[in-house]
Amino acid sequence: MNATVLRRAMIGLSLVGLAIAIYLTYVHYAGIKPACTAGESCIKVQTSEWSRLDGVPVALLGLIGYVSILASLLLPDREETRLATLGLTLIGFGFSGYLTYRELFSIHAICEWCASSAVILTVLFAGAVVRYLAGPAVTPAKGAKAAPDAAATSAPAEPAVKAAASATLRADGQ
Amino acid sequence: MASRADKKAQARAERIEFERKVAEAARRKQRLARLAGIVVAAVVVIVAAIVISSNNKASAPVKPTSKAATADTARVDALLSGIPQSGNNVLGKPTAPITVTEFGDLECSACDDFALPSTVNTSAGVPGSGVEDQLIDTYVRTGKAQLIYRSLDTATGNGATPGMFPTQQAAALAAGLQQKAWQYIELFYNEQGAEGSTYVDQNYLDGLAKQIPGLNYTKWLSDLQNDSSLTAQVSADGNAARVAGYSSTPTVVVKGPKGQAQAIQGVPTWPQLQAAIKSVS
Repeated sequence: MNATVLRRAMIGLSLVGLAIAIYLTYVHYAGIKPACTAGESCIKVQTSEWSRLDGVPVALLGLIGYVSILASLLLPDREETRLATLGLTLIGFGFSGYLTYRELFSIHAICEWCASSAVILTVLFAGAVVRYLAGPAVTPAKGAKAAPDAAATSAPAEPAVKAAASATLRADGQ
Repeated sequence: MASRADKKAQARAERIEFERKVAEAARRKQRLARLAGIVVAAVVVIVAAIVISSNNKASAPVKPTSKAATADTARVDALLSGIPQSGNNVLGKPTAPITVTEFGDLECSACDDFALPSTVNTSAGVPGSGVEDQLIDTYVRTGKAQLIYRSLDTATGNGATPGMFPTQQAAALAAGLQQKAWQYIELFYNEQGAEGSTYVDQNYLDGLAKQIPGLNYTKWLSDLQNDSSLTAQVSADGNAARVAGYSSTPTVVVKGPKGQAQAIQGVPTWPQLQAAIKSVS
């Protein structure tokens, strides 16, 4: 997949996740019932003992998480920011996995908002892994075109060599 | 000449290619090391979050007020000890001739005023009326009256967590299945938070249950989660109150051998309540 498309898709998904987290945080503090297709299950989950982490509502943690992920995606596309996205989505994936486990085996109720967020975080995490591993300029053929961008922002070691290489080749060609 | 230049260029290209490969290998290694670093860091964060989350379970009950849970429990215990409970909401001898029914909302501050003694401040920060304690000591403990708690949604529905009403009221009835409804009701009022605030959640309800000596918490939780007749009872209570024309809590209804006294809407004074009881005795 094209790196730009992947990045945009991830930004889109983060925005959806952010919207869910904003909604659930609002519901938590306003004390209203979340819209729920499965009867009272959302309320059960939202008011359970696992809906807070040391007093902080997990919906708010999710909101902070999505903002951080979004920030890491909107920052200049560098290896560091890709790594940050990976780390953040891994935390989100891991913790929402744990919460889903609690929903299934401790609360015995599934909140579709939370489940949607868990799915989004899983996809974001997978996207972040692909994005990081297929990082800039792995294939030199394509890299020739993508190099100026990547070289400008990546870690210094390789671009220096590459810039030198292309400069030399150009010089030779003339 | 051309071939010599070609060879030179080729050798240079090969050298560059070799350098590039070495650099790439180093870079890949560095990238994997960073990846491992971030994964370890993320896992540490996740594990920490899970540990904190799991500790929630064992932590002290949510305390909306500064009153100590142990003092509350001791006071409630002293008030109710030795008085039989039946059904899932009745305090006192089930054959007592007088029935005093309180329509209440566990989050309502006027009910708190009714329920608390003058030695304890209500959630509104003023001493309780002491009327319910007098009623219990004078009529219920002596077997003359039974006190019944029924649900009517007022403050909760207008408050910050309207969706909690059926669950919080059913939580008391679930304790009632173990003849401890009144311990639950009294503790709820003792630890009531400010009206309209968001203190009532499952954690708060769990905390109250865990404070009641001798209550089987697992059974209580299971009844609360699985026995839908409890929330049905809560909503039936509300309907009955509306049919009777009661719209505020507490509403106190006194019945006896001579019929039913006029319902007292709002917190009754002790003389008012005594007069009502006498009128039907």
